[in-house]
Parts: sequence; structure tokens; C-alpha cells
Amino acid sequence: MKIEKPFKEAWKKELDFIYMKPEMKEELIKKVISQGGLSSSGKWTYPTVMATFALGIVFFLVITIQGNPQYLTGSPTQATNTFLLIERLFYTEKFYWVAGTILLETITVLLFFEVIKKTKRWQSKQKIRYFNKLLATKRRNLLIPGFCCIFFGAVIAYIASIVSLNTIQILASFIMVLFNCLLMLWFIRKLNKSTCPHCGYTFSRKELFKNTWSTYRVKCNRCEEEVYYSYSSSKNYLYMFIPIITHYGLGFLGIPFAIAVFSYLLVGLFFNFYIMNFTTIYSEKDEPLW
Amino acid sequence: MQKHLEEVLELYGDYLLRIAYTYVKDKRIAEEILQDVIFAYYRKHGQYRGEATLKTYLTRMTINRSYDHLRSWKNKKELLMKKIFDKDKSKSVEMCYIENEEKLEITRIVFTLKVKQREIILLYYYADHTTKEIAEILNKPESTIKSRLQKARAELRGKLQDTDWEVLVDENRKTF
Repeated sequence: MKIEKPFKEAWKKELDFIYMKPEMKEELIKKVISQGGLSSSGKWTYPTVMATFALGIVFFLVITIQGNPQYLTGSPTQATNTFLLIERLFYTEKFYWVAGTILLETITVLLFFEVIKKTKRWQSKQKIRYFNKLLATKRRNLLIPGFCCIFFGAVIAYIASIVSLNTIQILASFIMVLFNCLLMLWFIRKLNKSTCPHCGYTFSRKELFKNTWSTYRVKCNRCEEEVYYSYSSSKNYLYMFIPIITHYGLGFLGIPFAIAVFSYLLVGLFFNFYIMNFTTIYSEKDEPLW
Repeated sequence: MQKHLEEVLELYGDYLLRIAYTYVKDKRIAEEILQDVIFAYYRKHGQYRGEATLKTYLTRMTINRSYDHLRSWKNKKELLMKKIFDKDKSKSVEMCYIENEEKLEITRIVFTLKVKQREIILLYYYADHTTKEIAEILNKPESTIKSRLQKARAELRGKLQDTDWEVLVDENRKTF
């Protein structure tokens, strides 16, 4: 015969493990009194940010669709006379674009070498060690990057001689993407991958990407403890303003909007899938983020 | 007012926290909900007309806020992300704890019920409300509450087969 147990009492006893600690009660009362019951929680923040983000995407899409077609249909200047071509070279928009692109390419190549040399977490890798050996002396340090700058500059100049202005603008955007990515890599040269502040577990890329979708708190997969985005982590998101500024500049220079948006998206993807693995810093306590 | 709030928290703090917890199945979110309730009560305590008991009034507020959370896009998004990324790890720490703890057998089973059934079981068995009171709290006809209670009991009976829990016997048999 089965024994009949009192369900009600048994369940009440079970739920006893959920209770408010006295200090929590005190804290809550203090909070309510001090804030005058006016701001219980920032519930408006999340929907506002998400709505603004969605509206922003819609706005950019509409602008892209309605983009001016004349930017996309530009044709190279037909010049029959070589002398006339050289004479006109300095007065054409194309020349300034080529010069600007080569300058940007030079900065990008130099930054690439600096990033490789200064990124601490890569120094143990075999390929990087070989690379550093190659640049060991001052002479080599000047010659190799210098040669690379000239080589790529020559390639750009050659390409520019056979293609239209529009293609050069696309090329400049592509170099700008590389420059932005390298610049962000430069900023995180001293950072390591995000770890759990409780147990030191290094989050995998997949976990970190998943965590970016969580509002403010995540759980460590190893120790199951809750971790929070730290204040310093929120400051690191400011790196994303660099591509905004540079692409805004590109827009001013007359790069087709669709191309600028596409290159910005590429940088954004790089930031989201790679840079954020290092800029995300977790803390044990729930810190105010702003 | 501070003293009154202290009394309210002392009397109903744990109770309201457990109610919120039964809805959202997450202690931290339940604490946030309780905090919201206390803030709202502090702000609008003048609106409390005393028609129902303070316990019922606060219960109603807690349930409303718990539903707000369950309906929120934030919660739905989190559930979706859990389904996508954590196919095998969809249980929260609390759920894991509950499952590991043999003593928490009933809670574990109750958490498997749908929200509509869970809330009836909670209000009926844990909060000791009658079906009439539950109907008032949830703003539903009493007949609906009774049918939901019956269904919830039947499900619980099926899931708690090993033991005969006396209160789960049908109400008409007058065994409780």
C-alpha cells in the first residue's frame, strides 16, 4: 500500500530554499527610499537601443537602395595623346584618388608590421617568431616594410592606369577595411582572450559570440557562476567608433554609399567575430555600465 | 513608510519571491521582479484601496510583472538563443541544482507544467488561496480556474506516480 504524503506541506518545505537574505531586504528598502521609488530598473534602455538599431538598419537600407546611380556609372577619361594625359593627370580627380590610396596603403603596410611585432599573445607562435627574426636588425626593419610599401604602391599605380575611377574608389575602400582591422588589432595588442573571473576559464569564440546576445549577465560553462560585463568592457566598445569616423570620411570624399556601407559591414563583422573576444572583460560583480 | 516597507518585506518578501520564482524559474530574475514590485508599491501605495488583502494585492502585482517578463522580447530572445546554442545545456543552474537535489522532487515536477497550470498549483497549494480568490487574482472565471486545476492535478498525478500525494486526489472526493 502506498503512503499518502501531504503534498502541500512537502512542497512548501521544498520552496524554503528560495528566500530573501536580511541584508538583501535592507538593501532593497534603502534603494527604494533613496530613489523615491522612481527608477526601479532601466527597462526602457533595452527596447530603446534595439528599436534605434532596427530603425538605423532600415534607414541605411532605404538610403542604399535610393543611392545616386551616377556614382556607379562613371567611365574612364578617354585620352588619345600621351602628353595631354600627363598634363591633365594633376588636374583629374583620379590622380588624387590614386595618391590618397597609395598613402593609405603605405600607412596600412607599416601598421601591419607594427601589429605583428607588438601583439603580445602572438609572440609564442612559430610563424611570428620567424617573422620577428626576419626583422631583427634595424636595417631589415626599414628595408622590408619599405620594399612592401613600394611594391604595393606600384601595384596600385599599375591597376589605376588601366581601370576607372570607380574601381580605384573600391580599392581605396578595401584598403580602408584592412587599415581599420589593423588599427583595432593594434588597440588590442596587449589583451588576452576573455576569461571567467571566478575560475579563470577562457571562453571559446562560440561562447563569446553567444554571450554578445545576452543582455548583461552570462554563466561560465565550467564553474556555472554568473559573470557580468565590466565597466572597462563597455569602454572597449568605443573602438568601434574608429571605422565609423573613417567611413564617414570616405563618404565625404565621394565614395559611393553602397561601397562605404559594405566595407563598414566587413569591419563590423571582424569586430564582432574577432575583436570582441578580447575586448569583452567580465567581472564577478554587476557593475554599473554607464 | 520605511517601517511599513520593512514589515511588508518581512511578512511577504519570501512569499512573493517564491511566487515570482515559480513563474520565471530563475532566482535572479525573481529578485528583480520582487524589487520592481516593492518599487511600484512604494510609488503607488496610495492607490491601494484595501478591497483585497495586501497579500493578494502584492501577489497580483508580482504575477503581472512575472508575466511581463515572460512575454518580454528579451526573455523570448534568451530562450531562443539557449535553444540554438545550448541544445544539451538548456537548463539553468537552479534547474540543475533542483534536479540534483532529491529533496526538490515536487518543485522539479511542477516546473515541467505549463505556466497556466503552474500558477494555479502555486496559488492553490502554496499560497493557500481558494479557487474563487485565484479567479479574482487572475481575473478569470472560477470555472476556468477549476478546470485548469483539475488538468494540472491530473498531470502532476501522472508525473508523481511513485508516491500518492494526498492532496492530488480529486477535489470532489473530499480528501483534503
